[in-house]
Amino acid sequence: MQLKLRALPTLTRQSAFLLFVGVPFFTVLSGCNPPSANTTGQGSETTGADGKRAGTGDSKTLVIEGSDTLLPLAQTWAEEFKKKNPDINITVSGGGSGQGIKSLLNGTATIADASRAAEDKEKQQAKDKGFELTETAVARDGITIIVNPANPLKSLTLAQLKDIYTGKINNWKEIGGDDLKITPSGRDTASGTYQYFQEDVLGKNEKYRADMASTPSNNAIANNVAQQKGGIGYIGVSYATEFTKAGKVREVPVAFKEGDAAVLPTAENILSNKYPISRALFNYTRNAPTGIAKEYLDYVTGAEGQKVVADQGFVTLKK
Amino acid sequence: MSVAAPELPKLPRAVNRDSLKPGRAARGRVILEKIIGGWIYLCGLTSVVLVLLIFLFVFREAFPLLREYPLTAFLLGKEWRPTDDPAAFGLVPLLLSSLLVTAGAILISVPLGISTAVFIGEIAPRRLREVLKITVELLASVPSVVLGFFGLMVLGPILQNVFKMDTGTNMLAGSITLAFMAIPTIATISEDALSSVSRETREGSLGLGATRWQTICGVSLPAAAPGIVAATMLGVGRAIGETMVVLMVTGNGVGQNLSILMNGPRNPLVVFQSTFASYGELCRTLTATIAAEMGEVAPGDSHYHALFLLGVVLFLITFLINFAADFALRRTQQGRR
Repeated sequence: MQLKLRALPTLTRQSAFLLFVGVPFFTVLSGCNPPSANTTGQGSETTGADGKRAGTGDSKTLVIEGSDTLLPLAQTWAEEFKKKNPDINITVSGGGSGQGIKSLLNGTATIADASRAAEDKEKQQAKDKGFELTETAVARDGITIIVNPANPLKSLTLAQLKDIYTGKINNWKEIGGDDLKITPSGRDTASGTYQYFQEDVLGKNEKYRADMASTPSNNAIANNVAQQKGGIGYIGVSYATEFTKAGKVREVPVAFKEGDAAVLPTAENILSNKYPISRALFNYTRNAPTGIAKEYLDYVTGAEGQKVVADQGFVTLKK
Repeated sequence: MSVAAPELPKLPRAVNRDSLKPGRAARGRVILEKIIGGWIYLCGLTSVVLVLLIFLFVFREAFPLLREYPLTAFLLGKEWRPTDDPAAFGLVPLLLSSLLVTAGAILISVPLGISTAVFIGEIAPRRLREVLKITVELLASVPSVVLGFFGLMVLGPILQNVFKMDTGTNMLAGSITLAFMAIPTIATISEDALSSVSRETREGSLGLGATRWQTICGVSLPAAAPGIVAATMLGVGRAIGETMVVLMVTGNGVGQNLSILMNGPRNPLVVFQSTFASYGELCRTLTATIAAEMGEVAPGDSHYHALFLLGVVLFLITFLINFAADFALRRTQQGRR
């Protein structure tokens, strides 16, 4: 021990002092800061003067948390809604659908954004706590399949997609492409898109292949695919637009099955059920929404809210 | 920075005469010293207690998994599928990834780090030495997320093009980026160990007719060995516990060659080949798995407990590394006596 001390620089002794004295000191100091509501997750945005937490019974505060897919939409909704009701506070943050529902369950959020339906386990947890998870559909979203622009692939069927993501197909030449290894990217387990894709495309009891890169965001998937010649990824339609415009990735038309027409996820194709991979996006509340939450959801599902949906590249609810 | 011969403490030039007289001032000073001493003691104790509490907490949160999931299945499981039904919490791919990434980082950073230390401490002229020391220390202060971003956007694509890899987010990119983080630690601490080798020892060697190179290899490095071992261990500790870089750079999947390593034939050639090839593919380390999945899990879920069990494994690895460092230090010490 003595030798170690001699070998270590004097600087270390200084930093040890800092660690022992400085850190507790500053911890005490920072403990005095007023609590802030805006501490959750990435891409969060506060619209409001003071940071009160939800669940405190404050009828003027809305905390919205959850799906990263819904995040840009929820932020715009919050801004517009705030313009109409200047005296309320709205906090919007991402983190994943699971995260949002978790926060709703433990009372730190008033509304959970979700890009998948609530699981039975989550519904049961809500019941245990004495309320029902109430679902409101707020928009629809297509999941688009992107590949590297260098990939000449014309179209895919659902079955081929499934085989790619379960690991049965490993080379693009097996489905009429170049002789190139497939390097699939997907979201991580916190993502509603991950679970939606697993249930709807892979099938209930199928597993993702182990060598799928799991990424923390839609943009990370697009980046992967832009860099990898053999890359493929699934992302929300609205996220693909910019990357497609910049020529970094290419969207591939998808068909339900062999022989059907393969189409791109345009609003028209999704609404007419021609495009196979689309889903409803939800907002969850504790029981039926009341007060400010109800006003917000009425706005969101109303004509003005749905206009935002279309502007942001999502698909409006069916009338 | 050097801690050469112990120097006698110098008296301050202007001594406050009053403070030397016994009386109220002195008593005040004694009390002040006691207060400061007690405060520092308390702070020191806090950190020890904190470590213990953290360990207790992590262990308490991890333990319930073993009630619903057998320990052997955790330790020997080859799949990590926490959200599937039924869920699989296999440690092997994660541990293997962590170890391989760190091994790669060690292979790169130890030779580079020690060479840097030798150059700074023994060879470089004095002015260059100061510049280099500051530069290396600056590298240590680069936030890991910045290094991760560099690894993801710059290093990955370069590796992919140069080595014709399928993906730029791979184990090699992780190893290189981690090596960047470990090199400053290894270099600065090794350099301090080298500079604490007494001048007499070195001059004695030169005086006996040894060349500079012989002196470095035969005298300085062996004399500084314990410090260098400690430096390496600190570097390794930093690499294996690092989260942000591996989360961003290594892709977070289990590459096909890793699967071969886990399931394939126990033929040394195959093991060697797939180990080598796995550096061009994805991996999913312990730290990155915890970081990526902790945000989503519901407290009380078995997935939640499983992530804490991964934390316990990380804890044990760090303990082992510290223990090994201590052991190595003591052995070298005894060997020299």
